[in-house]
Amino acid sequence: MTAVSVKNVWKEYDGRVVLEQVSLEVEPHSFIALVGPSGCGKSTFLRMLLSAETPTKGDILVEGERLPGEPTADRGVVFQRYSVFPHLTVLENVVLGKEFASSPLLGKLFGKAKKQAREEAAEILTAVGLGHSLDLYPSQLSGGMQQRLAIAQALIKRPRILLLDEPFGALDPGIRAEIHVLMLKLWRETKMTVFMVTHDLSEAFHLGTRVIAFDRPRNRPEERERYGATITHDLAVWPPKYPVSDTHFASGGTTRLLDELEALPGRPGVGH
Amino acid sequence: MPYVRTTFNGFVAVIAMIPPLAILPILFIIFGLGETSKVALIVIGVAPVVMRDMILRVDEMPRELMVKAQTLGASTWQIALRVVVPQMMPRLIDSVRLSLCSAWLFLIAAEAIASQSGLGYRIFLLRRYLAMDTILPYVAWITLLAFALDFGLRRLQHKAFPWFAGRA
Ligand SMILES: Nc1ncnc2c1ncn2[C@@H]1O[C@H](COP(=O)(O)OP(=O)(O)OP(=O)(O)O)[C@@H](O)[C@H]1O
Ligand SMILES: [Mg+2]
Repeated sequence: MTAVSVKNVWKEYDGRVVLEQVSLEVEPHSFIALVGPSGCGKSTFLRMLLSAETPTKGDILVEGERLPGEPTADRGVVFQRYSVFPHLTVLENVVLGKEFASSPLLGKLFGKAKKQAREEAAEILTAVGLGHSLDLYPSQLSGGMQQRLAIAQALIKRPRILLLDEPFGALDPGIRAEIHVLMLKLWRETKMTVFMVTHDLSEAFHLGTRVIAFDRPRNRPEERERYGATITHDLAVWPPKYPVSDTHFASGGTTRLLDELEALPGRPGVGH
Repeated sequence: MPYVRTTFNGFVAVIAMIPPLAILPILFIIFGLGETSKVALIVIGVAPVVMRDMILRVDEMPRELMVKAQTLGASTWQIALRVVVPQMMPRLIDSVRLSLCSAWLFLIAAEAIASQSGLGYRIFLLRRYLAMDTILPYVAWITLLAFALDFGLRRLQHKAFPWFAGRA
């Protein structure tokens, strides 16, 4: 449940304006789909939300606080490619997030702590449908499985915000539909605020609670240097994907991933 | 961090430019005519090339992976330890395999110039007598050794880093 507020953000590369006057108020637990022509700065915008890039001007606030200067564990990410570590197995890829947190010096867990972390990772992997592929290397997975792995890897850190850059662009329609179902389920259950870049409008409207289009209002060749892209359309998706109060899902009888996760050993349970 | 790397990079680049054979006499003066000089020559000749190759490989790693590691809560040290170094190991083996060629060159040259033993020494000794029939077996030996070493490294890479062979 995280609100994001983007205040008049500009981004220039070497004096060339890429994004200008981007302002956006995002309610907690939104699913924002970002669309726009190639090269208009969608990935740049996402990288700024991630702190992998800093705005030239303007501010980005999360829950009222300025973003830190570096990517942190409260914002997860899935890229179209290169989101998983090729030298680690499926299970190790997910355990890694736990190991970074609990072992500053070696980045590795041993004994009981390791066993516990592996159990938790296996649980999440089962939830995304990779329960039977724990010991495979990423190169042995299909594209869809790799993206599921990347999602699981991000989820183990319980991010408040999840950033997706064309995550399903390379998948065939069948696999994509399956992953859409999974994505919506995870979004509802974890209450993350999600930003997803996509080139597929139907995907944008199917998944998003709000679709934001970037474009360059001035796009003559001589104008390109000085004028960047900005938000040209901002559409709320109808019908809403969940009651605004969210009570419907809180009282619903569906198995909730978050509960399953919270119920794991070593974690305090949450009442609701 | 980037600053350290640039400096280091430049340093290695300059070192790599020095023709190793040209400093062979210096090595003989420092280390004498024994094995140490030969080993030193091979190390000086091969190490900078391997190091530069490794630096290039690290630069080649997708930035996305580093960002991803940061979003998983990794520190710079943890990224080096758990992400960069493990991915560089099999590439290091590749690099060493390629460098073996020049390593042999340095070894034979060093032995030919100033040694009382070794394969290079014998080949160049026999050259004086135009003893082609005895030189050829030595060449065959060296080739066999080189091949075995290369094969061994490849096997090691395959066994120790199974993820490397099948990667996309
Ligand atoms: N590191 C950089 N240095 C200089 N220019 C950059 C950099 N990153 C992006 N750009 C420029 O910023 C513009 C926007 O790039 P960006 O990758 O954000 O586009 P995009 O909307 O994600 O496009 P696509 O849909 O093709 O992924 C491009 O013109 C690109 O050349
Ligand atoms: Mg992009």
